[in-house]
Amino acid sequence: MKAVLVKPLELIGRALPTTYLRIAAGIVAFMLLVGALGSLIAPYDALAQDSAHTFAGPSWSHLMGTDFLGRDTLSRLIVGARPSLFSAVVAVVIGLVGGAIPGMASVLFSRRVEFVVMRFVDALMTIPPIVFAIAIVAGFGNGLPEAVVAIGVLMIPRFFRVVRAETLKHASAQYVEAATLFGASKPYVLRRHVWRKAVPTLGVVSASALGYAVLGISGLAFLGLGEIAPQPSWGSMLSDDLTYLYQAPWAAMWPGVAISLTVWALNALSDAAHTGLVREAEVPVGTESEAPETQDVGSVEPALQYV
Amino acid sequence: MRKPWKAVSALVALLVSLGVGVGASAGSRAGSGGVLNWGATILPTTWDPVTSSAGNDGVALNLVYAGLTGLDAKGNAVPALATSWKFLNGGKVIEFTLRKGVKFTDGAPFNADAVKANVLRGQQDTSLIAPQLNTIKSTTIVNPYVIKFNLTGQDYGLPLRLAGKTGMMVSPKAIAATPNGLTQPDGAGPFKLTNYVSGSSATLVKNPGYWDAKDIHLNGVDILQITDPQTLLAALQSGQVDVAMIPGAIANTAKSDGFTVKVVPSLSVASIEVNAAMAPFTDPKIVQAINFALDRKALQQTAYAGIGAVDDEPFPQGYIGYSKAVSNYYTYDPAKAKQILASDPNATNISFPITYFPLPPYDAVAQQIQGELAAVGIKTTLQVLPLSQASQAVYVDHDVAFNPNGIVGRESPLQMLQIQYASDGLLNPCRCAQADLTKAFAAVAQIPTDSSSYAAALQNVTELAVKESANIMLFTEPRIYAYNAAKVKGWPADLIVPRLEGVTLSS
Amino acid sequence: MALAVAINPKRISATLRWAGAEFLRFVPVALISTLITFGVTALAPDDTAAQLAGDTGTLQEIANLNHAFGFDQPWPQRYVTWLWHALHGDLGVSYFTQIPVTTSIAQRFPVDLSIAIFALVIAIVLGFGGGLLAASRPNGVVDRAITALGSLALAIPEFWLAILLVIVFAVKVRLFPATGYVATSQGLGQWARHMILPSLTLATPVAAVIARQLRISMLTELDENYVTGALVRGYSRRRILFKHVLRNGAAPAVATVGLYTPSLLGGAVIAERIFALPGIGALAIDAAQAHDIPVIQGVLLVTIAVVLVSNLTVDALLGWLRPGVKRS
Repeated sequence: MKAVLVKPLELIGRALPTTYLRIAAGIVAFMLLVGALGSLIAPYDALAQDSAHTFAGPSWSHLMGTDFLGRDTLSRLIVGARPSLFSAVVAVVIGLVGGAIPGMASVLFSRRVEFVVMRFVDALMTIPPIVFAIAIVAGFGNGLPEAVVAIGVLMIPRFFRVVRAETLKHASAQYVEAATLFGASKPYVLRRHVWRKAVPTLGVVSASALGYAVLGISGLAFLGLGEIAPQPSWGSMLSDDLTYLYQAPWAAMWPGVAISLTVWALNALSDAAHTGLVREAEVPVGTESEAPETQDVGSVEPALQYV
Repeated sequence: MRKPWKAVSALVALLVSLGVGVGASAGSRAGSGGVLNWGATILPTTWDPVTSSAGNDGVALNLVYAGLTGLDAKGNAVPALATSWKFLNGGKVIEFTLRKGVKFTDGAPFNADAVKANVLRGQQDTSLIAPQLNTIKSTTIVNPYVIKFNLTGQDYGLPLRLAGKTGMMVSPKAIAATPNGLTQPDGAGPFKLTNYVSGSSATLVKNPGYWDAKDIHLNGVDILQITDPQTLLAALQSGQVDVAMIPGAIANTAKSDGFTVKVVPSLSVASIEVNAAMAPFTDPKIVQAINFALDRKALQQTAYAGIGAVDDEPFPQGYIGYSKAVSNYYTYDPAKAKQILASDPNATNISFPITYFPLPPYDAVAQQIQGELAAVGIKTTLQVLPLSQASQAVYVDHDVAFNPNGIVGRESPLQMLQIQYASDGLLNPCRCAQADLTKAFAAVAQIPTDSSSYAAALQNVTELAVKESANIMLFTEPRIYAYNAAKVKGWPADLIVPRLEGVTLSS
Repeated sequence: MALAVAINPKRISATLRWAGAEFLRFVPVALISTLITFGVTALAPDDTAAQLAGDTGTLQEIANLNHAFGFDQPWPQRYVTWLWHALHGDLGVSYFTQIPVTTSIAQRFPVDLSIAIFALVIAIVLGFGGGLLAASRPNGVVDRAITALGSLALAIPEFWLAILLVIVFAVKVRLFPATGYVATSQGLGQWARHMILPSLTLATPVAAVIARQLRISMLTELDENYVTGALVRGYSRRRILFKHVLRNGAAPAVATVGLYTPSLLGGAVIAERIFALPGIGALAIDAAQAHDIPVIQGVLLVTIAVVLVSNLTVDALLGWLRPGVKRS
């Protein structure tokens, strides 16, 4: 497994010559660390109310002020990192597993099966994730798992298409042809040779997908889907701040900055890795494939903040 | 794509011209009176008085329906669709003389037959106003404009109740045509509903056939359901609404913006509907402890920005039903709460769900209550209940144990108490009441409302209710209106529902 | 001249073939999306009948309700019935309010649609404009400014940008209404004023992506031989840019537009909450919490339909722009 990790790390290392990108990587690492440590490093209990000190501005005792119930904003931001980030990670894993494996296997399909699978993936792409998440909540109840599954499932197409494109590209390489001539079965060839070539691109897509997922989970939390009060999450904090706009106009800054920084950092890393791969691969631009937006290696959409 | 710049600049020009364009005014109702644009969350859950479970519905329903009686500023019953009434047979019969020449908006005439049809409809099993009409044994039509209600016993509060939903007259033609429920309101009220987008807006036009049409100076009313405070303020600013019912949080902002902010006392009180038939509230000591654990002032600050008053009974101070004996009966005393819990053997490991509505201020208040209860050792979880299902779950299915809510005053204080605390009270989640409370209710019903002993008897009920019932009252919810005083004149200060007679718009 | 080209028999048969291929792609996709919609909503654990029967409901009453709603039929049958009705415009009735779903959606969907379309227009104008400007003088001041602006636009979450805009325009600078919605019947000008902020918020990131996409593909095109040849032959830069390079390079940007239509619709739902617009988002979220399945199904169906239509349009445009490209 280490072999699988080395290539993307090398690429990132080589593509991170600038401070700009190192800052981005640092931010991601920092956010993940905060998420992991959670309440251990929060100065106050994220749920502790203090009705005498509501809507306090930043001060030495409350670095980011307090919210409408007098709870410390900084602590809530810290504790809220985990549901905002780690659930995004789970969603990406769902998308990856659900998309990458069928994507690679799709080259083995008969034309009929391939057609149906491709149409299924197309169908997944026509459903707006938010509306889909609302539907899942309608059917299965409101909770973080439901929101995560909704976002994760709708990320399957991007992983599927990228992995499929990569597989197609590498599957026609000469050494693969040679292996098949020697009697290796197609699945074996895929596992042994093609998979390793596809992993770097997967890394790139995962990074941008992670940014997308963070935005998606936060967006859903903002709408009240996926997180149960009174547990804080960045999206729900943003929603509360909106309600109390007149009492504390600038309170919305904090969760907003947290989300923006994380997404920007993930985008920057994904872009950098992508650039690194392009330089590596020297694939002619404008390769024909199904997705016209695929101009070069892998289809990397920037983590657009829509869900 | 020959000359894209041309197309682009044309498009930009179009967008710009739209942007600076002044919107045409909404004027489908011509005339000198003008159309009042009212921004408020008053759209009813239903336009049918018989299926309306939310007290707040009364505001909108009063715009399209007229009642048999009305209320004056002091809360006494005055003529409306009935011009006079008298009690006969020692109070066991009440005879109404009806107004002549009134027609419903669908053309049906108002007469004794219409009243009878409405009473029968109101008394059906599925009707939510049935408990308010249960003293009417039968009706006798003396002539087309005189009708007698034969009562099961003395019920002097009946004329008061008939000023509200209980006495709203629906067109008998509409009743006959839609036995499964009204599809639109055909009443004889000040306005007629011409368009309705559920949860969003209602368009009303003046009803020239209203019996008091001469006092209605508006040509129509547009109700815009705007829940978002920013939008309300912006709508006021831009003139999209002339009057807005605003939450306490933006009262100061509205004032500094130059609007007149009028705080009108109302009979609405924020409350917690507690179901005494569900654990752990079967133990009255626990309810007591909770009453002392709650910091009503802090809750009021969150929900109403401090406007109004803390209140542990269902009436505002100064109202006839307000009992001085229990004013400040429950103070904020967490130590006392802990003491009560410690001495109660049943009070170990209490845990229950706080069922709240996912909109402000209920979501904030629910979290705050959770914190305050946690401070005395009561664990709670938070559960969402969509507003659309609230009435069904709390008052019909009796499924909900603890629900931050609010009560909205009724025309008759006794009716208010009955609805909330009586053993058959519509808004009594457990439909249970202790024996002495039930006796006290019976006693008041036998006293004429203008008698000198009425007030004391009423207040006795309030006192017992506050001490014994599981329903918890928190703070009063006055209505806060913001408007441009140069444009809107004569805005009412009515206690129960704002009546638009006398309101004028100047341009 | 164009007409003569249009009625060329070869062109017609090419168009027919394209239409046939499109049909072959789209019908299965549409069917599968509706199947997913139905599956997610109708097959979930559902106790609507028990809820409606209430506290006093007997098992028989619940069974009767189940039959009335059709819950006891096998699911393929339910799916087909539902789809059949939907195609005829009947999306059923809300379990709780008895209001026909089609009515509720028709009252609210125009709001989201207006925002999405308005946003699309702004995004196309800004995106194509920006991309063109950037590509016309690569690495110049304008180009670098636009690229930087684009990156910024992509980094800020749209709902945070929206909240910032609301703070500024609702609390601080009261230039025009920050929130709320006015129907077009009350004046196009008023309607547009209320639309500006929500549409701008949604459009900004899409515009950035389009601009970036267009710039890249146009720069690629500019490297092609035919451009050098045209320059040598003395054609003006402007003519080359618009007549040839844009047409050849626009395809990926156009495809991007199509790709982000679902996002625009979904983004409209969030914008609704921030800008207090009475759209289907509010309807859908309420319905979700109440498990009001017909409403949810209706909302999903309508959204998917819009996305499919937009995809079809984009495909047609792409086919016109790059007739030689085969799609698998």
